[in-house]
Amino acid sequence: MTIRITAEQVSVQHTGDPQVVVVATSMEVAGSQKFLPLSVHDMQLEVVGVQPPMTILVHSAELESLQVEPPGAIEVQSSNVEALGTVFQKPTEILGMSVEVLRSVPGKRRRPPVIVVAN
Amino acid sequence: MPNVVFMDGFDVYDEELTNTNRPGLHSKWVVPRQESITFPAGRYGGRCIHFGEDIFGNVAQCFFNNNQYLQSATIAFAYLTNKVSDAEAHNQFLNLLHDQEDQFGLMVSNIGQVRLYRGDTMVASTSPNLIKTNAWHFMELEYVGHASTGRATLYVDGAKVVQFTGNTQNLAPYAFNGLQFRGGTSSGYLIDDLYVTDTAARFGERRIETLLPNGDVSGGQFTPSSGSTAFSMIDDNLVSASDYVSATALGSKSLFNLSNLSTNPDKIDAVQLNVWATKTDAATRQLQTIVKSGSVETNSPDYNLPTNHICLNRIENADPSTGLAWTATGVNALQAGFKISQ
Repeated sequence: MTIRITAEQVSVQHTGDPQVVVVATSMEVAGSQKFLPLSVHDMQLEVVGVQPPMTILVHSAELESLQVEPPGAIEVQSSNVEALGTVFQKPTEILGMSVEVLRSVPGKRRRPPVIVVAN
Repeated sequence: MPNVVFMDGFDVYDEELTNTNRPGLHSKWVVPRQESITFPAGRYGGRCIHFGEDIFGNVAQCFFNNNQYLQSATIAFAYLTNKVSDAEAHNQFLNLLHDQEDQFGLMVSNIGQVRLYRGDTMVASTSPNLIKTNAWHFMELEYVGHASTGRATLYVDGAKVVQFTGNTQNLAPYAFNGLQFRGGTSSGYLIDDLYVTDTAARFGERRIETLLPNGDVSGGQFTPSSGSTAFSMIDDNLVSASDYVSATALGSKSLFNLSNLSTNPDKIDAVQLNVWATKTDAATRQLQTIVKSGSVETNSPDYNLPTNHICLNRIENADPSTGLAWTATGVNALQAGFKISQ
């Protein structure tokens, strides 16, 4: 199976034979072709800081599932694996945002009132 | 020109402090005694922080951006106490910390004095009857740390009320890198509009006004957890995990418009962008926050995200589009956002 990476960072997990080896045979880094042998044994493989496109060759007829994130980052060009498996989500969530402004208290060209309370 | 290195208006924190899945004070502070903390109404609207009674010792600590150590600084904040007591001889409510050691501190006595402490040693005090209960006072402490030529000058409500010169260091080196608020056994107090600068020269009385997102900038790539507008997921005046925006793909970016200032101020000393973010699995994720002023867009360094909520904050002391002090026009036109960088 040949897969093409279209993001700068991907994670690949497999849940098949622990002896399955994922090997990256080549990748493009800054315009030059380099070879990067990577292997993973039932664990997560991360390829960090490389520029797409990158080609990874997976040597296995026993791969049961392949989990990929971000979704769509890996394009399967040919495969002998029946099921690609579950997409492995890794979203970043933003819960809130604010901007705090350190400012003088009175408004521009306006002095605060002085309040006098008397009988 | 002094640079603001820390500021907090306490306007948007969740009160559920003990829940690490909620973006409370612990998303920005180190909070050893969170059970004593609440967030009642603030000095000029919004909220403030309340350090409760009957908790003695270290309650909450903040450390400055980039873990900066300051030898010269101004620490300013609004203070209100509901009851004063000096049952403890040196019960400083505020300590300047050198890591975990007390460098210099302030205490309010039961006769309304503010006392200055070097470590546990009182070195100066104001006249009595200065601090009234249930009244907001704005305190500004100019501090220069040194074993012989140090200086600590305190202003309350704009008036210089005490100055000490001499040894202001409890331990060498002189610098401090954080603040610690402590509880008193029988007195509680409120703090609002807190800021710290890197120069012993006060600004004068200030407040912190909080602006929230009020519109999407077109082209945003983060997806709302419900509905079709992203800004309405992150505009809570009490930051909540119940709605959010999310994205997965590297490079995903969103910008938002913000509400305007309530009035045009004479001075704007700094603008701080806060973004509460998290990742949802164990792999490395990084986020950049974005400030866009005019046509100039500036990105923060990469922040590594944990799997619970953290407040990513950056302070802009000057308007990036002009290099000069912020103006109300510049702040009102500001856009802010974030981008997945890894």
